[in-house]
Amino acid sequence: MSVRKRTDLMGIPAERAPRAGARPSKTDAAGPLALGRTQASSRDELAAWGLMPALAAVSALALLVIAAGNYLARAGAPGAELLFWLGIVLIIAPFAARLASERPSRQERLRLAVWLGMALYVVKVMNSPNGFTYADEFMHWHNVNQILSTQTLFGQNLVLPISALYPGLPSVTASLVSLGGLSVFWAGILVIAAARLVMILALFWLAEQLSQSPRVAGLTVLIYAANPNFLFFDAQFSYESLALPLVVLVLAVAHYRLNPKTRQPVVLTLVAFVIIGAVVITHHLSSYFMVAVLLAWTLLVARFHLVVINGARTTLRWYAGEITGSAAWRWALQATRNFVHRREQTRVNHESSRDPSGLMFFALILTLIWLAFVASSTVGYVGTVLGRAVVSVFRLIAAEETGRTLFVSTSGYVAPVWEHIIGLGSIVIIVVALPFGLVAVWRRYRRNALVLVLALMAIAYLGMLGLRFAPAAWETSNRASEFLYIGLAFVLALGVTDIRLRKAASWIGPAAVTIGLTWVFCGGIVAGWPENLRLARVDQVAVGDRILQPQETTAAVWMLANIGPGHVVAADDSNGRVLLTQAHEDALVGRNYSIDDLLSAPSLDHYELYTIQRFQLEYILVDQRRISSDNMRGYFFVPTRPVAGWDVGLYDLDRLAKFESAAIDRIFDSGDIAIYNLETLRSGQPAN
Amino acid sequence: MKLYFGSIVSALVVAALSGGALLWDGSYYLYSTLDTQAPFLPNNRYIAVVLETPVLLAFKVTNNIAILKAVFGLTYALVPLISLLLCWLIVRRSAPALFVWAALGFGFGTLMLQLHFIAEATLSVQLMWPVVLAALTPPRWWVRGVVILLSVAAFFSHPFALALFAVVAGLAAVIGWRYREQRLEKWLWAAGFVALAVVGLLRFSGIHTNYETDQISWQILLLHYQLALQGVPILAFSAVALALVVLYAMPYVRRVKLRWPLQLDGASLVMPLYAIELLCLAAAGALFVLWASIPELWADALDYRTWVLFMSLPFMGMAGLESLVRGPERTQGPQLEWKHRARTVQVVGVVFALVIVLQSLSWIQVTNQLQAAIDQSPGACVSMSALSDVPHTALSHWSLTPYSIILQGTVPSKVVLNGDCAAVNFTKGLPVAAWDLRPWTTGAFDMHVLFQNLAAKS
Repeated sequence: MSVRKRTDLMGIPAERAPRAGARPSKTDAAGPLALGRTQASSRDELAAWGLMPALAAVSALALLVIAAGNYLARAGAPGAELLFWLGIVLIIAPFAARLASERPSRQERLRLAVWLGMALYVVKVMNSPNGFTYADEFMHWHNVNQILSTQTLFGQNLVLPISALYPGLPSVTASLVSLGGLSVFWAGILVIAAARLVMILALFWLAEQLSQSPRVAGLTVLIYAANPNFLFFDAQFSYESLALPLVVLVLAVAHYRLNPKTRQPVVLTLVAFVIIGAVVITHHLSSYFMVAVLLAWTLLVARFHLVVINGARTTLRWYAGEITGSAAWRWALQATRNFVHRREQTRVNHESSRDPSGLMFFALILTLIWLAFVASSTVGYVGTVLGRAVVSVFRLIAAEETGRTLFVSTSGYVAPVWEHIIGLGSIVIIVVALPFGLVAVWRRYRRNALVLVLALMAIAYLGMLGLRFAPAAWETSNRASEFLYIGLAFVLALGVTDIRLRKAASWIGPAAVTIGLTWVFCGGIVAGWPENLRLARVDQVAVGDRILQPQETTAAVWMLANIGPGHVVAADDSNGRVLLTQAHEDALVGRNYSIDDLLSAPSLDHYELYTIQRFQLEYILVDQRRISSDNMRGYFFVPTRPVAGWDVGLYDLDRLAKFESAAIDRIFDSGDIAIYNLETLRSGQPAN
Repeated sequence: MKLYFGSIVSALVVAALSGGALLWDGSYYLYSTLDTQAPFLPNNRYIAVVLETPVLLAFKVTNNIAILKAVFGLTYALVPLISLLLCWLIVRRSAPALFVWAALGFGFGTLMLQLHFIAEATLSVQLMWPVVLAALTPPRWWVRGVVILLSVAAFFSHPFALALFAVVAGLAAVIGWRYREQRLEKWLWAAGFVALAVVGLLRFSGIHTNYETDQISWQILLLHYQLALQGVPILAFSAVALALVVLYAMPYVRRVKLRWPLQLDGASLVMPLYAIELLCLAAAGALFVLWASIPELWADALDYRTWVLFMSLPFMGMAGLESLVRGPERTQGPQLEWKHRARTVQVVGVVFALVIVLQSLSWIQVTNQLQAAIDQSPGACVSMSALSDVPHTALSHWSLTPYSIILQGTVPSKVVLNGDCAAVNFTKGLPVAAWDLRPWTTGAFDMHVLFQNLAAKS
């Protein structure tokens, strides 16, 4: 294995030398993803597979165990959770042991990484194998339907309006549906599977370029898979699941392009432009993250931090009264001129003709154009979420609200103690291991600007963990993990490869690393997804040759058949999503349209009538089950036995009674769900 | 000082034009003044006569509520501005370094209620700042006139002025004891302010209201601390406190540097202290900027009024301590020290401007939300419970009703009530406040449209 001894801030290696004590690998020196270019003999090729076939078989067995767990969960039988965790450990532990080992060849590491990532994707697919059941998936499913039916982009999505303004995912999926004759569900599964593959390959490639070590690259992929959102959230049919892998690919291409030995930099630049464009039209946060990383990288390459340090010194001298304000301004102007001049000089000397600034500016301008002319409402959407997070943090500091209790859901469900131990233990492992990685960065990679950016991301991840205590900020912290883990995974991988337990028995080190990595992975699952949703739930029941659907699906199917699509229907969070996708109605849900207030109001007064008239509501779907307000669990048959975290109760009868007494038609009734025709109530103009 | 006063003037103008003076009970002050055509005098605080007369005069010229709001706000904005100018003029020649404490007092001590111009507690503190500085510096003929004028104004503003009279009396007595050449005059000042405090106390005991006496209790102080100060503001004040210590200690550190120049390198000793001081001020500024930007965070800032005196006294105390310990010739200070303090003043001015402008903008945003809610409301009476965003902002106050009236001009058609509209009987009048049932036919505001709308809905 070779390591980078010295590089400049663009990450270009000055020289390469084997690290003391490292065992050389026959295939380590191969170029990026040069799987097909190896010149090894057929025996070597067979050897290059290493333990991959055996580990693939073990992981297949593990998937079988998880499938059995899903079966038990659907049947409501005990032991399902145990099988799930057994399967997860069976997948992770062998891969962790092998990837942490120094023995595998580069090809084996790459194959292991790919297999691991795809096996974990299968875990999600097995979680909901009959259709989309995650809250966000319904919105993007609707967007695909819109493109297919109207043959145009930017359709209407009343549940999550901005999702329609990022047509990357739905347009690709719709293309697959049109070309391949697949259902939207299976086209979506394929698109996200491809995205997952891109993520693994791009991350491996990026980490390998930065570290010159396939071992670090393989471990980076493994550790990244431990981020709380990798197993479920980023495997769902959602725009981030597609965009984030493309961001990593942009970084990998951009870094590869910096190498002076790289051929055809123009082609690479064009490829990067195309991928950047794809990210910008696919997902807002991913594009902002991409711009932020490229910007930080560019500034570090340009040694902007030196300008900042000198600026701070000058500011202090001004504050001390040693220089006048005008002198400080003059200095600032001069420093800016020097900075620009130095940049021009390096450009003239072709020293940095391949620095990331061009890609950064392209990404920045494209993102701003998209934001200004296509998706301006993103500002309000993202701003509201981040604003709430900031307010929550400050309210917490101000003691105006109590901190969120960890491992307790909003519905009051408390996770078992062993999950507390796993979750907190994984954080402890990360905190302990991170300094090793940071030391490695400082000793060997501090001249590589992109590595420094990744190290900053790793440190930021620890900072973001504090937000988990703020009620409205924990989601921001959770969602940041899949972004910041890119840096954290790389730095931790560096740390893991640097750990040496010289005096311990030879098996202790690998065993500790394997246990640690498996623990961190399990901790990620605990932090990222509710316990009672990690296994499959009953979303359809076969009775003879008939398939029974949950009530909300039945109501939607009935509505499509009898009322037709395109009507404005008010509903709760889960029913609204089902109506959106299965009945093709213009569903209005949530607080934005005052639908929650309308549903929960004890009577139909001025405000409720005003809401009906203002939004010209044609129908309203009223679900008596409390679970219908839960946009994560409201799509399944309600468990017949009590399940922790599932609110199987009913609302007060007022919810229905106010419509019953309003002299309007009840056009559908399935027991818990009723649909009312609001024609008589909405006929008036909104009162002023 | 141009940058400093430019920042202050800009911020105050923006705040006044944003309608900041109508925050909380400010809207009732304006509504009541205009509707009754007489200055509203809360708890016999006669300073309101002077400050509300301009808007009454303007009302004779125009009914435009935007202009009236601006006149009302700008009049009140003159108090901090004139007080600050007087502070500078008083110390400019004799002890310019002392101005930094006044700047910090205005910049942080009264900052949290600055947008709420009409708070008499704040006004009394701001009016007394020039008096405090005058007590610490050699007197001049015009300063004596200013001191008398401001003391009278403060006397009729808020009971806090009585405590401040006592503080000034104490400072004047000690300064007279410390500096022989000023002794007679300062001791006369001390006697005068003691007399003023006693008279004020007698007056207060004769005319005080239950509201005022209720505010003077440990429980209320604690409650108001929890509501207004706990959290972000107290963090910011902690940073300011550290900056104060460094600022005060800096001249002594310089002296150490001069005494042992070989052992202690000046740059290595002084620069980190400057850095700490600047970082503390920047941190306090950043915290207050965030506080001002998020309306929820300053929703209960009104309760700071019971703390404004106690949070301002340390700044006055530092000024007094410096005058006593270091003497007037030293507070003039070496040139470099004043240059440094001038920078401190500029930084404080910029922080003040940023905070006030951002708080004004967030107040405008909250007001726009209320306006939109009123416009969209189907009924003439809107219950506060129907306004989803109100409970977490400064609008969550009894003065929401008069504010909703003022927002619609002198002929309102709707009203927002604190309670439930369905539970109110509007036949006798409009409940503008718990103690103010306004008859429909009297007053300068034309309520007949509102009355008709309410009657139609009922």
